[in-house]
Amino acid sequence: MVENTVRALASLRAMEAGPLGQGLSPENASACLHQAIRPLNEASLRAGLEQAGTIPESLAIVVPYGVFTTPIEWTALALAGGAKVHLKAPTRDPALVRALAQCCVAEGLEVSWGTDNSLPQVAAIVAFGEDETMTSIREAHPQTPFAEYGHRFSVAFVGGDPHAAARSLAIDVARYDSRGCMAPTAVFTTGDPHVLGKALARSLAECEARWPRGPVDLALGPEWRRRLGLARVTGKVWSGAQWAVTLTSVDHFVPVALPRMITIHTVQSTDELDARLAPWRRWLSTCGTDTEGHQPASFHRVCPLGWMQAPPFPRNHDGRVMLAGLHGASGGADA
Amino acid sequence: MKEVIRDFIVGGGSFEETALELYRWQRANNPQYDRFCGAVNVREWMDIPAVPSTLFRDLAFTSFPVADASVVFRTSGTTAGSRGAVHLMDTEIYDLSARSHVEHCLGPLPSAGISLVPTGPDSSLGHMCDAFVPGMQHFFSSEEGVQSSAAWAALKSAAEDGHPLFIPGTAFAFADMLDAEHDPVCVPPGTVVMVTGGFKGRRRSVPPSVLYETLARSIVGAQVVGEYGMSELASQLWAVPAGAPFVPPPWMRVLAVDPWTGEVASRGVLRFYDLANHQTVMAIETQDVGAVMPDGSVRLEGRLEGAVPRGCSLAVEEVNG
Repeated sequence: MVENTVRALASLRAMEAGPLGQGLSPENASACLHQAIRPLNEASLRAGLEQAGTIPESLAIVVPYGVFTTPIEWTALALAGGAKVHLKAPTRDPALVRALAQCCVAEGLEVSWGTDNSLPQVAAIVAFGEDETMTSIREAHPQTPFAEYGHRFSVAFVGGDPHAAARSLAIDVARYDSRGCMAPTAVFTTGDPHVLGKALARSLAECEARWPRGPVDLALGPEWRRRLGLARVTGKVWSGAQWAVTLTSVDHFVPVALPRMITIHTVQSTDELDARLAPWRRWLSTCGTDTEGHQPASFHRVCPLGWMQAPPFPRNHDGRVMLAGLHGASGGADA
Repeated sequence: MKEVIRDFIVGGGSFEETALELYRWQRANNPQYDRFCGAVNVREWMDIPAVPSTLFRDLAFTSFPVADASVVFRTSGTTAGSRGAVHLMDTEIYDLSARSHVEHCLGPLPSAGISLVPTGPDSSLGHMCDAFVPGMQHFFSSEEGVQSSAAWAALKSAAEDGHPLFIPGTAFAFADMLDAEHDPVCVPPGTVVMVTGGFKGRRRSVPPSVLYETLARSIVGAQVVGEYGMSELASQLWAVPAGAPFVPPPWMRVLAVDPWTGEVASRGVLRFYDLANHQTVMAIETQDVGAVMPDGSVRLEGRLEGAVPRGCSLAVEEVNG
């Protein structure tokens, strides 16, 4: 099954990414698709299976809208382990799920998909999304082992060379147009925020030329203007047509990313950063950092800048080994 | 500037000229607004930069030293963890604006009333209603909600006195009151039921037309009207009868703009340009959606779908993992 899975992923990788990208520009969708599939090969899938232990014989994956590549690694691991997989696609845009299923079926792998909320009888469920989604799944399948992945957010930290940091961080901001729990919502720095701001502006402009931003949710406009206004009054704004860098006090930190906007907050030390984020501990996902030895304990993943949206495989997702503990368990295997 | 605004409200004038004069004055006297505007080329009132209403949660926009404020109105905070604050030196222009326009729309107000709106010194809505009809009986508190039975009893008793009544309330307060067991009450001619606000942040929602019809059947003989206002605006818009477009006063203009670009649109997020806001900022951008009619009145459609709520609990709910 591992070989079939790898061949299916190769077929998916060869497809035109634009129509799969849930509104990302074709260039950005292509970069995101390649980035998501690149770590998935025979060796890494076998390593993932070893870590996961026994894979459930059938699995439903509830896929959210936003980060279009989300189901790829989960589906690949389950299929490589011999599971039948049902993908519940986001109603708003099921294109990636449809393409993934087609590529897998063509390799003889057992994959079904649909947008219907009712799931088939399966041995286990993995779900991403809103609290309401989780609740309805749990209520509908009380006896089924269930791994749920809800709300998280990520931040970046820059303590070293701002120019090098900006080049890498801009990629984290640009990938997926800042959607998803691994996108940096803000960057904290102990250095000169103005130097970092200018460098980030330059790098985001370069990213825009190479991987243009896609259309945005119109409803984010007032919040976009609020953040720009706040930064104009209290800090500094660097902006282009499709991106913005803002500098505001750390007291104004908001754990919600806007498309291709990154906010800089100054902190005195990594200790202050940890203290500032302490109230948000249960929602922290990834910390991208340029500082060797900086290992903030509150995050499930700490990585170099530029790799925030490109997690390794296999890995722990939100602190859990992927697909581990779902075989033979009964309901609510969430952490 | 206060005299200029007072003269406009009382005697009228050129909105364009006064708006541009006020804009220049606010840039000179409101340092935060001046920084907010930056290098912008304002040629007509529509060019005046509008401050997002949510920014009042972060900043105190005042055209006077904020320490001199004697009144602070706070936003409801129903969809956010923190509440915005509007600082005023006094409410003279606020009160003049409110009364002038309501009496233009409704005629002289009754001198007695039953109130279902929040009380307290930080509620602009409570302040307005108390200024309209001093000494009203209150049957709503933020702690206990609507005291429905007492409100119906008081309404029946007041109606028997034969004097017209002013009955202001939020939509959800009226919905609660109507849920309570009651007999229809016939009220004296001239009685006004004022419905304001929607159901934002509430689990329950009643279609406006259903609410207005039910109110008319339960408070028989009253004129049911709609009011649109917010803490960040010194002036209000009135819909007579409720369900009709909201009419702004002559010292206010409204624009609908594209939610993302901010460009003028036939339908979109509403921006208000209120000369009576001389102590804070004249131009306010809301998260309410609507359309502006050719005569300047406004058809309100509700809140912007998907608008990002702020504050811990709701903000985190918006983070898609």
